[in-house]
Amino acid sequence: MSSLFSKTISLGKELKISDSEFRDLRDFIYSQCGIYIADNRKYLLENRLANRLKRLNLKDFGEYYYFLQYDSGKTQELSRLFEVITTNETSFYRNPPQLKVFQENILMNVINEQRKNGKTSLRIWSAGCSTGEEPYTLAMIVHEALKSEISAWDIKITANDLSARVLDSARKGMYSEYSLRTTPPEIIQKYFDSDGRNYKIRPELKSLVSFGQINLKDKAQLKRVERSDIVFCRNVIIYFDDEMKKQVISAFYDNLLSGGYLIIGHSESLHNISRTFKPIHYPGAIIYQKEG
Amino acid sequence: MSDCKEYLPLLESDDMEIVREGAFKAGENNCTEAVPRLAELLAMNHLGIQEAAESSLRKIGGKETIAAVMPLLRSDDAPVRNLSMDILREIGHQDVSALIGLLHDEDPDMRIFASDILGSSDNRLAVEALCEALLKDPEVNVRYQAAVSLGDLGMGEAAGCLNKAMEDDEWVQYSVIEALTKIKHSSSVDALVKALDRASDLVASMIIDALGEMGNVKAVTMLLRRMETSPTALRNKIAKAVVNILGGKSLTLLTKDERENFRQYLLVALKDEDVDIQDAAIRGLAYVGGEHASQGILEIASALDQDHDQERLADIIANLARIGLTEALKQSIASDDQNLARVAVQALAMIAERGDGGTCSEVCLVLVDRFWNLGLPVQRQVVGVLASSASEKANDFFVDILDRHDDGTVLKGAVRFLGVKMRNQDVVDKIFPLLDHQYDDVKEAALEALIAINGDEVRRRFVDMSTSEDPIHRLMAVFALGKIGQPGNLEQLKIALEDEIPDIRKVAVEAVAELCGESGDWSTHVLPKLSDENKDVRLTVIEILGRCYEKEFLPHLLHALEDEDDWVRIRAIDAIGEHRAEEGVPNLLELLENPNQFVVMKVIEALGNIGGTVAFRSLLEISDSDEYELVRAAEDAIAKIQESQEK
Ligand SMILES: C[S@@+](CC[C@H](N)C(=O)[O-])C[C@H]1O[C@@H](n2cnc3c(N)ncnc32)[C@H](O)[C@@H]1O
Repeated sequence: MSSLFSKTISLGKELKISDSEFRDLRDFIYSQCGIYIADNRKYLLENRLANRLKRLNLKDFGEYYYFLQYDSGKTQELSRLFEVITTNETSFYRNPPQLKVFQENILMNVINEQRKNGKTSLRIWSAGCSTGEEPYTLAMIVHEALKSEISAWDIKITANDLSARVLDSARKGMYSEYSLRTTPPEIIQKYFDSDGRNYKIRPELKSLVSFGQINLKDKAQLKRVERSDIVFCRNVIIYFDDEMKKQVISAFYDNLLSGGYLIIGHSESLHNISRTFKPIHYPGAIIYQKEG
Repeated sequence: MSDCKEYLPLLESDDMEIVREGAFKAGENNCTEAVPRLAELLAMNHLGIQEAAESSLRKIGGKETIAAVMPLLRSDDAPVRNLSMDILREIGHQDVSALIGLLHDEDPDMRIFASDILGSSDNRLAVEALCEALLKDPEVNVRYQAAVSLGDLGMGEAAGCLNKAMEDDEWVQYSVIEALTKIKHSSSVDALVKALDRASDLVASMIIDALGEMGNVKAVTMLLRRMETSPTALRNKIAKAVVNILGGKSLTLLTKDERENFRQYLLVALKDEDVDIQDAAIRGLAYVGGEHASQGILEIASALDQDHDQERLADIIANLARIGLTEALKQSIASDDQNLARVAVQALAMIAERGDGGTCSEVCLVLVDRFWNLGLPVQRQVVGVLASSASEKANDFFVDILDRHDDGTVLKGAVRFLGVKMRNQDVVDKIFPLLDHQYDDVKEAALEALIAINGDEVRRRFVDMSTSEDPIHRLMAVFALGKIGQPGNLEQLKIALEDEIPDIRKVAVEAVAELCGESGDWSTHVLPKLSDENKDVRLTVIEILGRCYEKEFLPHLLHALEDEDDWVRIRAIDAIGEHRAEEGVPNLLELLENPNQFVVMKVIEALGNIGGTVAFRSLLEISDSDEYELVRAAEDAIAKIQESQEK
């Protein structure tokens, strides 16, 4: 029996979040991860969390708030909560025009600059990497750029996310066709092993990427990330309020080596957030540079 | 402050990263000594350092910062100038007189900057100074900016000088009009009206808008008088202004002729391309209405998008409803244009709800009459309207629906009307089959309707159903028998308490407990379920013992404190606390050692509810622990006890 009549008749039992419960939860969420839930998303929160409450057998959202702070299962529940409020939507080769600019201009610049200085190291940070499509894509692009020379380089792509669940899945490196919808066929051919249904990332790419959990809200954690030549943080800061955006962008500035580049989502902008970076306009993308 | 001494040298470093870090630190520690150096850094050509210096100067603020940043306004470097402006806008109020001094600078640019900054100072002293600049400064751009800033300050004291400045250049008039609109002083109405006669077209239309936004009725007579002589575009603007000033309702106070004239003007304004004008016309027509108005408004609505124009559509619908039932509305519900049909139904729904005298005679007749000619989405809406607004006259219509329609949403509406609203015994036969409908929400609606209808026949059929092979039927029957709440049903429920399916046992527990309002021995049947193997069943029992609490349940609740499931324990704790069962305190205290902190917090909460010496003493003890969260909870609980004692 799959579901016994909508899991035992629910007539009239609806969980509503009161204004004060909403404020408590919103402040709590903000304090935990910097994501600010605007008033107009109250209904969404109520709707998405109602199932958690039912599952946990909680009477109301006040009890849920309590649960998140005190229950022995709170850490686990917190990551569930994060999953409810974040979107992990991503794909390989997301936004190709931007990546083209990255490959042909930015990455080549950095590589040539290094060569000129007799160096062979490359550090890229993918902050908010979700299930791994972005950092693996970057690994592929680096491969394409360096070709056979790659074995002589010291390359590290640091990939972080708040959600432990997405990181687990990223480490596995197994993907469905859907994640590959914007990926060129020759790339799929070259960097995946496929059994026809699933696509597995090749080991030589995997070894370039190291995954780890990070909360972008946590300044101290950010300070510990190795300095980078390039930072990718696409489609992540949209969840944050201005204060948190400023904080995070300032941390990227500090992390970048001088002359390094910041790449944010195609629809995002640093307007009113930071003036520290020099915007460089390319057809199809704006890239931000930390001046040397 | 000793920290500040440490940071000053950092600001002199050659390493830009150190300078940036130092600049941030100086701000975090409010180092006034660092201000002069920070101002120098602000002018440096390095974005990372500029950012740090800027943020710290904003934080530190005060006279010193203002004095240090003001000279940078003269910088040749535009970004530096802009940064300085920005900082001064934020902190300028901390030394207004310094900025007022700058209003007399020789350099007109400085005077413009100072005027601009004073606009954010929120200070009365700035008004007088800006007024002087507005009336006397030789440079037109300074006068322009002074007016803008007076508007930003928004203080009534500025009305006098702004009114005078309406005689200035047209360029200055623009900003003066805007400022007057923000200040909304009644003296300004005359000044604006006077200026109208010699104004250019552009200024005239700005003045009309301003009068509309100021909302002063003094302006109405003059505006109405102007309408006849004005060209269409300006007349539409006047129409908007008048509606804005009077609001729709007072339009009904105009004389009959005036009103008829104005209605014609509004109908023209409906066709203006400016959305604000259209909306004002709609609001006005809602009160002076008529068939043409309804038609015209529906035309606008049909071009709107349900998602993008949500708010606008909602307003339009309310206004259409205010006009009332029209031919245009009747026609529109049957339109092929789904957008239009939807709007029309929603307007009709509002008219029906308002139902003059509580009935929905006319509108409901129209809806019933056209129902079968409508598209499915509209039918769904219509059924919703009728189900909540129609009278018993619609009985046959809904019975017909049960016979002929097969859409879930439509059926739900019919079931709700016939069952919950009319309690119509005659349709029981038609509703029972819906308990097997493919969608759960239809099943639920049918179940709810049958429970509402009640009666011997319904009961007999549920009793039969309670022994069905199909677990879903048993579940629904048990649920319904409980809700019907007849002590005679107890036999069936007792059997259900032993059903092989836990969910059914759970619903049976709830059903038996529905009888707990009546006297009788319901609890003897429920209590044994405390040892049910399924934790959800046990949990339900505990919740019910809490809800229908009686003193003799306490031992069972205490026993449940030892249940293996945390949630059973937690709900038992809640119940003991809620009913302030002091005898339970010792058992609760034992749970303070529980590894699950949520359980512990619940115990503390319960102790606070119960009160009494023992609880109080143990809470005091907890509040002495070194776990911050426990202490806080204990303090809350203690506060609660004290509060209840004060009462
Ligand atoms: C929409 S995904 C973007 C993935 C990828 N960068 C892309 O553009 O395709 C956003 C990710 O940001 C992560 N995220 C949100 N808030 C975060 C925080 N405070 N710290 C770290 N990661 C966060 C979410 O878990 C989610 O995986």
